Amino acid sequence: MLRNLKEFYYPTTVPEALAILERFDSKAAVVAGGTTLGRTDDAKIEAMIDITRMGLSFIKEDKVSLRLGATTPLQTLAKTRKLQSFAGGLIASAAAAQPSKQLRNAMTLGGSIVISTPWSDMPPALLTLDAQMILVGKIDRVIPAEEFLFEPKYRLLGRSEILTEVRISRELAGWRSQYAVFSRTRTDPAMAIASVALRDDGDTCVGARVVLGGITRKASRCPAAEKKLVGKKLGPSHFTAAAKAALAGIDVVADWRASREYRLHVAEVLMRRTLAACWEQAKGVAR
Amino acid sequence: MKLEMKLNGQDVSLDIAGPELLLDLLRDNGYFGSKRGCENGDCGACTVLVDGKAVCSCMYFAGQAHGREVTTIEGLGTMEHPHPLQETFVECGAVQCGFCIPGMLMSAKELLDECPNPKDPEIREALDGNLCRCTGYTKQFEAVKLTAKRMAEGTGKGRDSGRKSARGGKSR
Repeated sequence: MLRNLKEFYYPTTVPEALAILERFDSKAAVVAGGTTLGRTDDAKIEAMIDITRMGLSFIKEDKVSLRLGATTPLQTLAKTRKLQSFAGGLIASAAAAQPSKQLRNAMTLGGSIVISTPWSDMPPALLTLDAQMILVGKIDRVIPAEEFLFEPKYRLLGRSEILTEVRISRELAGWRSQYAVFSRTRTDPAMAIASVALRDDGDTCVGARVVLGGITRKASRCPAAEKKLVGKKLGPSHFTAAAKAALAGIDVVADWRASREYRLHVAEVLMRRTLAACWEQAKGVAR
Repeated sequence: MKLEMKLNGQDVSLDIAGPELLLDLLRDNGYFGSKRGCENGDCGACTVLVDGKAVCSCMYFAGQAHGREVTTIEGLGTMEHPHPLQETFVECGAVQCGFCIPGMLMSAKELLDECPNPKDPEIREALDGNLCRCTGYTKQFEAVKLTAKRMAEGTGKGRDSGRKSARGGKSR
């Protein structure tokens, strides 16, 4: 419980929110959906800044990028037609993978990135698409998803900075993709996540992005697996090789849900199947 | 701190403690329809609508509802004038122990408000955040489907169904 929480603030602009953050130093937390903070125990937090009234819930496109507002609910991401087709619908699929409509309604894109548990669905998808995080503070920063996700949990607490937007290059719009989760039940946290995007040139794979999630503390790109795919006319043997390469040398986490060995095995199978499904889909659409 | 919101259509102003969750606030003020189940976002028994969107009130700070419109099961219908969803849930036998039903109804209401003529997968998706350990979901699915049909045809029942709902109330 946040036993020292005394006040809520409802800024309507980003500068207003930043001023409140500044004033409370490290004693104010930013809240959007509230699904994580509502269950957090932290005596340091004295004020809560609700950032859902600052116009940060949007999905738009400019000349170079797809722009997603940080407080856009996952349900909106899952249901927006543009996202269901952009890059094979990867963002919409990842958002829809979050079970429970009530949670998808509350959870936001920004929140799922900032909190980023091993089983969070948005980080693997954003890594696959090389998303850029837009942070507004004293200076504005643009940070690649890869770098952002590896910073410690609650990194935004105690800093006068707010994640306002996620940008994805429109060059990826035509890629095919597949997002798959392996979990004990639909609502249980993922034991393994495979998020892949492929681009084909008729028969040959000309671009591959492979991301594994749920098996280590943070999702990660697998360049070794991508090398096994690019430039080849893909078939079952390539998917097997790429899945093996993706898992090679990864320090898989063991917990009460799954042993190291079990997780390694299902992750490899999941990756192989996901790559195959993505490729079939890519070929199907291209022809 | 003071919380001002619209609760079931009425403007209310309530004193809240900073960390208070919406579910606690509602139950402390006599709105016992919203149930405390898992407190983990799994079961959906605490579901209420905030600005028309179904959320788990056990994972939602009361403070987040400031200036917003909250609808609980108490705002859906009355014994005398039940909501069409409540009528069909009773008719279809979708209620057994009843613990999950207020949450289920709120999720269904969001669906029908947004999409009056839902397809089967849309109904399933709308109820995917509500667990029921008694019924097996089929009856509830049928009830939502029948409600949509009746509402589209404008054939929701009138007084007759009021009695049915009252009977449902007693059996709980």
